[in-house]
Amino acid sequence: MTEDNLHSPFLIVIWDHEVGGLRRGIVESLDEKLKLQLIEEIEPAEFFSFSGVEVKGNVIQFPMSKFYSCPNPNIFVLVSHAPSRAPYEFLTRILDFAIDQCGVKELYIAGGVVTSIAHSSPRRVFGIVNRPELKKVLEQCDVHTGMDYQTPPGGGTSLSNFLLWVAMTRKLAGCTLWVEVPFYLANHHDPLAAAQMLRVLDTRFNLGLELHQIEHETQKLSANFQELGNQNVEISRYLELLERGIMLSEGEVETLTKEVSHFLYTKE
Amino acid sequence: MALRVYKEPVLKNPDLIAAWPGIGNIGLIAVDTLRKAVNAEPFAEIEPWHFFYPHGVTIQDGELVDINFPKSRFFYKKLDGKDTVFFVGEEQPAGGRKGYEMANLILDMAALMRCGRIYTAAAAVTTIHHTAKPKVWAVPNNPKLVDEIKQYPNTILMSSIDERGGQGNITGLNGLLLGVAQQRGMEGICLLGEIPVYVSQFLTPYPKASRSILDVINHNLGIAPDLSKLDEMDQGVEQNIERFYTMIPQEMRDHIDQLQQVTQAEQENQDKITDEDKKEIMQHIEEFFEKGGQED
Repeated sequence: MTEDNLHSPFLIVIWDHEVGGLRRGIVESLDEKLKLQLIEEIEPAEFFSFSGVEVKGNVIQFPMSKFYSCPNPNIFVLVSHAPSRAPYEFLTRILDFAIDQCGVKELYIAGGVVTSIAHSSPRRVFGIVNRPELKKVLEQCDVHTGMDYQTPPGGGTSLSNFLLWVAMTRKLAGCTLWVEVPFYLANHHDPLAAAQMLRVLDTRFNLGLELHQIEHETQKLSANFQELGNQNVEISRYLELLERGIMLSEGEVETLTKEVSHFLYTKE
Repeated sequence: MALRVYKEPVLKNPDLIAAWPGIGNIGLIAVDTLRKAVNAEPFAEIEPWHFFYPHGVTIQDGELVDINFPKSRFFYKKLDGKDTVFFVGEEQPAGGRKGYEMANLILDMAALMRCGRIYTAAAAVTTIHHTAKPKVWAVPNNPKLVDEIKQYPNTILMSSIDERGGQGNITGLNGLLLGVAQQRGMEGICLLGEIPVYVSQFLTPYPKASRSILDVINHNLGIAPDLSKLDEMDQGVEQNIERFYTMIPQEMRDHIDQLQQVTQAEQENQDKITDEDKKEIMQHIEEFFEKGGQED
């Protein structure tokens, strides 16, 4: 499935709503290197509510689901909003196009998972596969693959894992990849998380990505936190505790998230 | 969107009894209790992915091994009195169109099994006191069933309820299924167990109303299953309601206790409480719960 399949078509899926601004961080870097070409859009009327529009980052958002291709390597990329209705039919539509039109043989769904790490900590990437043989491939890309998990009652399921399951029913091998995002960066751009996910994809597909821009953003974020810590002793202490692996209380988590958001919004 | 049939039992003119979660889980508890009491066997289900978003996943050693959807299952039992098909849905589909599609799938199964009648079971939120025995409101989808319903124990028609005049709404699939059944020429009756309006706000099960519904169903099926577990559950819930009741401010309890007179008056066919009185009581109760259970 690895070396032999390197020329087989792959599909990388990235949802617009992913934490840590991953969509932007990953897609911009892929586009810069691979020069993605728009090849198909899923008509939104069937899957999205048009009772109004969402406003995000001060800008009106309109639901989209766009397939891009790049001929060398043979990779397709889907960038999409999550559907607000008929999710199973939506995911089926994605796979219909990927399998029937593009001949996709493997599916990679990139996403973020919010954890209690510090922004300065290295980001781990966890992988969930729908075929056991894919685990070895991911382990070669520095992905952790030994997770055991059972959704607690009332917990729900991510759209990514739902897609992975639908792919399994279509006999399409695939995985969901989850990069760690510090909880206080969930609603901001986390360049370290995007960079780590890109490294995994780069290793897997030999993309030859250059991460200069994202490294520059990482340095900028680090400088921002340095400035925030200098301004606010309490926040500095919370960040230090997280760096030492010490959990914060609920109130401390709330304060840190609020202060970081306020500071970063003024910087953005 | 399809039915998945494990086996096709040969049944003799069965009835189908359907329920989903709802207020006080009255219908679901009634139907689930009965199908367990008679040891009904599962024989089919509705494929869930078209109707529901999954509830959860099971991941073992990094591998996705299962994804869990709400189940919509059919059971059957050959009973002495009457063969019976049970449909138990763990969740109602969101949106009218999907509800309509599910209703048709259930009725496809009912037609396949040659069911003669469809029952649904749910809650009727009303002005009774929690110490009263809940009545069952029965709503047929065919006027020829009205006379039969009048013979049911502890049961009333919509027209018997003062302020309703035979009119009202049945929300969700409990009503929709019987509407679609009517269109398909299948007869059906919705059985609604009464629940006090203030108890419906507690988000607690209300097995006492489920018991009333089962009294009607068992009467019609000609069976007398052991319902002791349901009665035990009822006692436990009753104690919880009483415990909560003592925490309600006295003034509020005085309002609610007036509902005892409503029930008594109706049972004795007297006219001690007027519709105006009921409206006033309800207004106080609603205001109380709108304030999150805090009296001024």
